Amino acid sequence: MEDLHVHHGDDLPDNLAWKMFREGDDQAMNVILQRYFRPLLHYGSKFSADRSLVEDTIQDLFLGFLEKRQDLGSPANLKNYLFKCLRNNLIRQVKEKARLKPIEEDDALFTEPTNIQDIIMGLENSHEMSQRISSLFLSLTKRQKEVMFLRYYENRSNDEIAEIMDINKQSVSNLLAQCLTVLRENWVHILFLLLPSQIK
Amino acid sequence: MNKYYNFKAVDFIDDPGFRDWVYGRSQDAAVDWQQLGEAEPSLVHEMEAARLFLKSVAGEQPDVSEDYIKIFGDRIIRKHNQETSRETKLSTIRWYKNPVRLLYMAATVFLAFGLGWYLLLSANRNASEQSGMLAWLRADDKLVNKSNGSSHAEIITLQDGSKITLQPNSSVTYPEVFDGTERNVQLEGEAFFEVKRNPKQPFLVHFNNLTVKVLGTSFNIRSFPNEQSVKVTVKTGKVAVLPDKAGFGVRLLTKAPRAVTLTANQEILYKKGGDRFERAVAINSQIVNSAISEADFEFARTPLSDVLEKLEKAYGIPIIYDEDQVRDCSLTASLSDEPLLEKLKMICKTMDASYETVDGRIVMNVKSCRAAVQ
Repeated sequence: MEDLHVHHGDDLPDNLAWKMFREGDDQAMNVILQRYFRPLLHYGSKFSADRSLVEDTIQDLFLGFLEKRQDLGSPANLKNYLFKCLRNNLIRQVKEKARLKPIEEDDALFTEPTNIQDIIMGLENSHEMSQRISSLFLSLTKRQKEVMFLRYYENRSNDEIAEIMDINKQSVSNLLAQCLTVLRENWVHILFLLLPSQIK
Repeated sequence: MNKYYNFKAVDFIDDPGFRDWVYGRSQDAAVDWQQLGEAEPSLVHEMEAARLFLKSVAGEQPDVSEDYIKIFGDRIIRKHNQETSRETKLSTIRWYKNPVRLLYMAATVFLAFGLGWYLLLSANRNASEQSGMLAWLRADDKLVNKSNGSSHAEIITLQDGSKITLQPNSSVTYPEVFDGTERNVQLEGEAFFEVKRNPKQPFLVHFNNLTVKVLGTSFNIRSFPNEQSVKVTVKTGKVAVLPDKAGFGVRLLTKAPRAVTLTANQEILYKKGGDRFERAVAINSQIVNSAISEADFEFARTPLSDVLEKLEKAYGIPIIYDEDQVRDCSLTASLSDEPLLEKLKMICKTMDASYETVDGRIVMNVKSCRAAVQ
């Protein structure tokens, strides 16, 4: 009879947690946060290196949900829905911040490579494999980086990525193909330096 | 494993199993990547390049604890509650565009400081009052005090016909006659109350800086000074549990739980000094709907949604489930003469389902109508 006390178990499926949240259960929001706060913060940190900005945006997102909780729909996939909402709000926030402080440098990951020359120099000068590979990754455009993150780190399908980034499915396929081309073309320059002992 | 021998870095990146290994996600991977690298040295370059690239894709993972997220969530809820209460007071006119409003606001701020000061004083006064005086006491009340020093429960009948079953080592204090706008009783220890209904004169039980307010119902309170928490269990009807009225100033200035309403078969557990009530389903839940009896819990090919609806009606406990999940489920079982939670367990046994109690409600998760293969 242990299971009688209030507990907000990990077993509660997303759709039920979301339904309870919509119906006024504040604790259900905490269940959702325990599950998705880390992924949201991680994804969000790619748009801005300012962690407090990302956290504030997540907070405002959920405050918005609380305000119109009765009008919220039931998304097919909660995580994708949260990603999409955070992405929209965060891009707006980052733009706003850039407008207010145009000089401030932002070392977010999903940003355009500023100087392609630097990247090439980095590739040629570095004998460290990890540095070479990270400069290769940095040479991708911000959209390519984002697609890589969603596809490979978050294991989202092309359809899901299209939904989150609000682009069509063909664009996702194109972005992925572009990335793989960049990788294939540059592997050769990188790989000949690798020593077998470097595998862990 | 052969298919990997021709893999290039790009192929490894595209392999979900490889990615899980790199990101440390699965413990029981189908392929032993470490071993593959050792067995086939020509792959080592490709695997290492793929691994490093995937690490770049992921970037640094933010490090946050469960407690941090909990605090984060509670802060959002608090903020939301503050905002909704403020919105009802403020009009849409921007304060700085309206000189009259500015003046009005200055006066409000001034008053707020005064009120704050007053509340601070009264909070201190309340703190000192708690030990001795009863906040609800009126000047002309003649008090009766009953203590139960025996080893068995004692039944007390009040002037209005309400009954108190007082447990050992417990005491109640109340006026000889209830002639005010409220019926007030002070409790220390544990007692079961059966209150005569009177909407004109609410019945209030005060204990441990909390108040239970009812019109007519039956419920149990357990509140011993030497115990860490207090518990209120509702048998029939509806009760409200709120921070004590006397603690108004204290409530504004310190953290105190928000009032909750309990219905039959629900209970709250409150940790003394805490800022929230935890609502739960009572262990010994009884049927509270006289139109439904135990004999009604015989089912033959009954749609599961009907069964859950009947349980909800019978016990007065909300049952939450996904209509889509149970659409095609039906139940053939005899659930009579079992407590509520046993009934639920039996339902879960006949199909691939589980339940949990969350905030005084039951959440059913039906994965499949058919029983899980043992």
